[in-house]
Amino acid sequence: MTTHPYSPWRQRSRRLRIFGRRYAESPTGVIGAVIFGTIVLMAIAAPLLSPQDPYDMMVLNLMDSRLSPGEVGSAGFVHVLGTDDQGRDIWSMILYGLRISLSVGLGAGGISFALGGFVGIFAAYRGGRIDAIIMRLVDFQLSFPAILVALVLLAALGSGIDKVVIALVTVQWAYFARTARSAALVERQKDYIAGAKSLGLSESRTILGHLLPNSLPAIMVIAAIQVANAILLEATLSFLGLGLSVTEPSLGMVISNGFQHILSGRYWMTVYPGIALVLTVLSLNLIGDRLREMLDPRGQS
Amino acid sequence: MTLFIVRRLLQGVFVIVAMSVVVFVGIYLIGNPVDILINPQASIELKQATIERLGLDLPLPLQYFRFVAGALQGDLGQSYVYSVSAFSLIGTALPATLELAFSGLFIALVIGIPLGMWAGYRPNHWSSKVIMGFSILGFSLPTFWVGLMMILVFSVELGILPSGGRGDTVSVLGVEFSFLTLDGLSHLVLPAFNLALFKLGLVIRLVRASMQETLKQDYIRFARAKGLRERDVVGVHAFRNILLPLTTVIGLEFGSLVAFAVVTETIFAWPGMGRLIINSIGVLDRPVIVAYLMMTAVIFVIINLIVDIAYSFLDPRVRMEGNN
Repeated sequence: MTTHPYSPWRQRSRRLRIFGRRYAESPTGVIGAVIFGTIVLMAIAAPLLSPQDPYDMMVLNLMDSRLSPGEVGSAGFVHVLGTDDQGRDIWSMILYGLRISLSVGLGAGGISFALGGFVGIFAAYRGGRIDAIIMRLVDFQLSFPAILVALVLLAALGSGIDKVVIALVTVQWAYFARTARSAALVERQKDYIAGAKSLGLSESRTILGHLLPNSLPAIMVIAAIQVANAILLEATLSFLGLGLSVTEPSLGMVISNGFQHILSGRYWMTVYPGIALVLTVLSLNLIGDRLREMLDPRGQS
Repeated sequence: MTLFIVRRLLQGVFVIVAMSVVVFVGIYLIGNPVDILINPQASIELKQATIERLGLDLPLPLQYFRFVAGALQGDLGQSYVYSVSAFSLIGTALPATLELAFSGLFIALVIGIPLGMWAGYRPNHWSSKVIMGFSILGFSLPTFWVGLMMILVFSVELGILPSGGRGDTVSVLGVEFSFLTLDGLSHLVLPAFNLALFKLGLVIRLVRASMQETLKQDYIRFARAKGLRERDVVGVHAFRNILLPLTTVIGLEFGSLVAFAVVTETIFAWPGMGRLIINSIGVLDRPVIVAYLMMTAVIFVIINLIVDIAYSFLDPRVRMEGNN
């Protein structure tokens, strides 16, 4: 049996292709997507791309500590970006650090997306008092800077990957809720929602099956930027010593580790991990910027 | 006008009360104060005595009441590390943080407003595209990493600026300031620029957007039709209307500068409240943490109030709304 020409699957893939073609009209958008894609692949393939596992005590040699970029260590391979004070290869530390930074950022971003998106759409669908209460909460939350909220939480909860994710979600759900609500408010006015209601569809089915998919594009735009912010905030918190524990070395912690050596001029311990962090965040921001341009009709000029 | 201010004051009080509840719940309930406050090796009798002395066995509403009563008298407990009142400890660190935050804001505005106005005035010129690219970079650069790079370049490699501390200060009305001495100023430059960079991208984008909005207005066309010089059209008529949205954002962003000074102060060993709070969290000096958070909440409320009042002076429509 052949696929029906109007099957939802065919339509979706066609829409995806059109979307891709429009996205590619902007060179900066493409650059962002390419850089981010490369970084994700490098993080996934970290064990293959790095000459050593920097967190395996057995392969570390203190003789190799503080080698500058390009020197050959005792294991016989070149430390392209140098080593840190414990003889760990900086290039390998960056690759393994990316894994943790990306998973924390994407994980926290994903949870905030789901939680904030649902709360926002629910508020828009229900309206009235529930909407007012939720939006008051959102406004209250957004009136405090992210770093302050995260400080309060981590001061109370202690450090660790789960606590950092809790802090990031607490900071970010409100952004998603606000965006989702405003998108859903527009969608709610449209005829197909009235149609769904008149068909007698249940509330949950109307929200999940109709309101949510149509409000999704607007939420996707801020998702890219919020993941970038999550990665940045986690790095900052880890740098301050409030974020992840030492057994979960994200890029922020690698940089924090190199901070002690900066006055002695060992620049490679902070410069290179920092460049990796900047490229990750910058590429996500470029993607987010392009998505916003595409969605915002005023951006067509 | 009075009614307007009173209403905003009441909202401010509500925010402070809400913050006190959040802090109380956060520190007293989620973290176990008994574990934090009492040496785990202490004898059971000693533990019991300490719990009773600190009132940790009382019902929660009563504990909260004691906490608020203390806070109202400026008593948020003694720092475990410094053995002085937590409130006064924060108080002595506050001027350094405010000096840093004001300097950062000043730099962000002095650089950001002209660049943003130009980018809004000539949105398609190549230089505007460079400016906008720079502003995205400003969003993406981790402030703490830029701070490290500044130390690396200006202190380690070039050796022209100090890497940390406040330098010589001058006491004005009992408060120490760095920016009045040459040595202090040289210590202030790097941290202030570091903090400014954090807000520069935002200021540029905001000014650019309101510039583009403003140039479409009728009064700009009238001003041009009247034969005014382009310099006056932009510098006087457009500029004034850009200030309006900028005021609100400046107010809100100043609060976030105070909060974000935590990072800059840690890097440049600037002795403000940010560095104090990070050290206090490290050693679980709970009264200082609570005092910092309450102090920041109060600063936020004061800033918001000032912004609202300034706004109502700049835009009469807001004032009218308050009267009805």
